[in-house]
Amino acid sequence: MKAKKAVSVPPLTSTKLDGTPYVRHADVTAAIAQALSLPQDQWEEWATRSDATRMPGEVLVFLVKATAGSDRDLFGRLVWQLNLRIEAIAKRWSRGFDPPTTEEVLESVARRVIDIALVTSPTRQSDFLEVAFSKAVKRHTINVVEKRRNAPVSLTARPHAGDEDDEDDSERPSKTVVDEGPTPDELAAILQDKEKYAAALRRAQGLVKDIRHYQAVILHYQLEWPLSSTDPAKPSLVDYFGVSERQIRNWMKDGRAAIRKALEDTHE
Amino acid sequence: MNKPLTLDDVVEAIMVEEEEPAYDAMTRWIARFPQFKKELVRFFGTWAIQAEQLEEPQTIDSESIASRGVSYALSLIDKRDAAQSLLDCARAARLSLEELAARSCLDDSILQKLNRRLITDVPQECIRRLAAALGKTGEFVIPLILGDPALVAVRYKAKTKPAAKQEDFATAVRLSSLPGDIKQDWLVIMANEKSDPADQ
Repeated sequence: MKAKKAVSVPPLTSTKLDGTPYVRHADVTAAIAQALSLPQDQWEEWATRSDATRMPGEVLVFLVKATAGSDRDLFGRLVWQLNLRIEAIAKRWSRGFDPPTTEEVLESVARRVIDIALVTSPTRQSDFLEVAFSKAVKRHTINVVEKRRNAPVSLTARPHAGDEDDEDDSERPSKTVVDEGPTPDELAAILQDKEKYAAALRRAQGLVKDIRHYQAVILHYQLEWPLSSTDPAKPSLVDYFGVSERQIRNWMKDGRAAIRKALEDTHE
Repeated sequence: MNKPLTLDDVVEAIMVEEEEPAYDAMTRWIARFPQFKKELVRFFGTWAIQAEQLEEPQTIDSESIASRGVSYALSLIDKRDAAQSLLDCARAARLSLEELAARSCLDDSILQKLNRRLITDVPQECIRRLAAALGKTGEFVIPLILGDPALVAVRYKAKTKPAAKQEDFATAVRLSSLPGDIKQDWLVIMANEKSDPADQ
């Protein structure tokens, strides 16, 4: 790559919560200066690389903004690359859905990031894309996923039913097996060693009546969320799922039973 | 200047400061921003669940998604450009009013009038200079400054909308605060364009 001349990079204009200005990482600023000193026809090649010299996502956002409205063709090609970057990050944080829902999530995240990147006046969110691109995409993915918590999952063994506690479903693990384990300590150990128990845990997600039953087990036994709490400063599963403590207990019974059944199945 | 603190601002700060969606971290942030408790519980909960989610091989049509993303971005730019005024474009190009004035040899009053499409007989040289300053083409600039006048959004007591008063470019230059030599340059440019329209 042959640079034309050194150029200055316009600073970001937003501040963090503590009032200090958002500042790009030094390597990002250096890469933007390098990009601006290069002929524009070299930007796409740099963005498409897959090795360690690949253009950082923050720089790609800057260049997409710089070409918006001036060079339609180059803008389109850079947005294509930006979409691929967004998808790679968003895929990691949108697991557990069926393929159509996953695609819907990925597209929604990409649109949200593009919306923010192309605002006419800089905002905290648009500046943040140039400070920590991966973290910004990750948070938007979590936001989008959060809105689809009840969407179909990829491993569900049966269709979702409602939230009824006592629905007659003789094939459900919690209805066929007495709730005699794994113990909380065993569960925590299993959930901590996901590599070892991956097959069983995947199967368990398919065995629960509703994926939230498995998620409740994860949040409670692995991440130590209380089932319920009278202290407003201590959020609980009741707060997260918006259902009663009794219902949460029934869900966890189903979740534990599914894990137990899955462990038995994978040992057979 | 930043706008008032929003949930988005808080979530971004969380992403900067927290590596993991730990329960203790959540309670700390809720203590700082109790007004967002419900949203922060849902955010941390979803983050925690996703962090523990097992990897699954999935066939995703990346090309289609990227292609739709490009179409979306292009349509966004088209809509944005179509809806913009001259001064919006300047802001988008990170140009202050003063910088745009300096680059186009105009003053604040002329730019404001152009922005509201209150000037007629705008010389091609003016369009060229504005386009160059904004990094756009002349075709892009023309609809921003020519056409029906844009009324200021205020309430009028009269039953009918008042008609915006337009003036020609020469009058706008004479009434401007531009230095005398620049005013003279514009008048010469206009005279030259009128005498040799083929050269425009």
